[in-house]
Amino acid sequence: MANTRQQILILHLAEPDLGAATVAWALFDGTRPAGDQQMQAGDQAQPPYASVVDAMYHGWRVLQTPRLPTYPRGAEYETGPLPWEYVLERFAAADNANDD
Amino acid sequence: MTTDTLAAPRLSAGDMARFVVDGFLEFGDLVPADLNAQVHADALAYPTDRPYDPNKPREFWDASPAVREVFDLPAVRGVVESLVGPEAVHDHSYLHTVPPGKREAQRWHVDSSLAADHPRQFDVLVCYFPHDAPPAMGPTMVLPGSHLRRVSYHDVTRYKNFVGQRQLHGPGGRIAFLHESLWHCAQPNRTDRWRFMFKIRYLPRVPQQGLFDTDGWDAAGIDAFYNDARRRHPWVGDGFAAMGPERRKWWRYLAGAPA
Repeated sequence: MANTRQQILILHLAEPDLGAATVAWALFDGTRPAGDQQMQAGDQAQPPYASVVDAMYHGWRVLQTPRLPTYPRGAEYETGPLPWEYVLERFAAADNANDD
Repeated sequence: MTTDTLAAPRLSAGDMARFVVDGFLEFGDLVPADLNAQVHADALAYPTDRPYDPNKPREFWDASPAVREVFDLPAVRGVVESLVGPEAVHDHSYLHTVPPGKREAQRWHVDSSLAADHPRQFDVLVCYFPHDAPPAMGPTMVLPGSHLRRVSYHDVTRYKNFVGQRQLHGPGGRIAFLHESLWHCAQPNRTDRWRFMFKIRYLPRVPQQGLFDTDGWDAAGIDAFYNDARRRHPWVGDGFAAMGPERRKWWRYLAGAPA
């Protein structure tokens, strides 16, 4: 597709169900002109989609789903990054002619 | 830090429980207005192009008698001592700035690697805004409750926004005390004024047990607060199942109660 670029949307949900509520999000938008400002930390108060399913209704394709957890004995209460992370993509028209 | 002058009031059990759940405490009334104004004047007179030099870890501190006075106030010392104990080490400090018109936010990060005894053993980061810092000026954004996650420095830079993220904005003199593992980032400055934030890192010299006013630590109200804590941070989702027991264990430790 000429003049289309990839957008990557990462949604973090409250639970592994793809219909669970979005609690964190990030957009990396390849349709923007090179050097243009991407989504910044802290720049939105409300998620763009209520859930992964909601994003699918708007044309996003799910690229990656998280593995469900296993709990090694002795590490049941370890926490780290947010666990229910879904990576989505969409292709859209580029904002300008960054083509080679 | 001196501890042998005026008695420093201690945090209450309720204050300390909020620190355990949120990972920070903020106050707007600890520093007199004239002292805030003097620190602001010192910041404006200070070179803005002076990056942090690890061989000069207290440059603004050494340059500003007013900022040293702020951190010698009994009310300020009381909070610091409640968290990290007497004679805590002033590891380093720095005058952080965001220039007028800066459009980029700092990325989410923590100021620590993986502490061996996380979250029990913690340093405290004290963030002091001497001037009015409305949201448009870019005061620090924090993620309440994130200090309990075990992550290192820039592991969290891929995140951009969270339900419940919160900016430390407010009138001049705002001062926030952060657990070292709290996720945070400076924000863009859409004003025509410089944004200053003076930050000190304090390291404890003593086990962090029984340092606050533990009276009522096991009262029904505190217990109810912990029971309701999962609703304070929606971004945690069902992670409360892991974080809840950790919080309780840590609370008993802080209060000096048997495990």
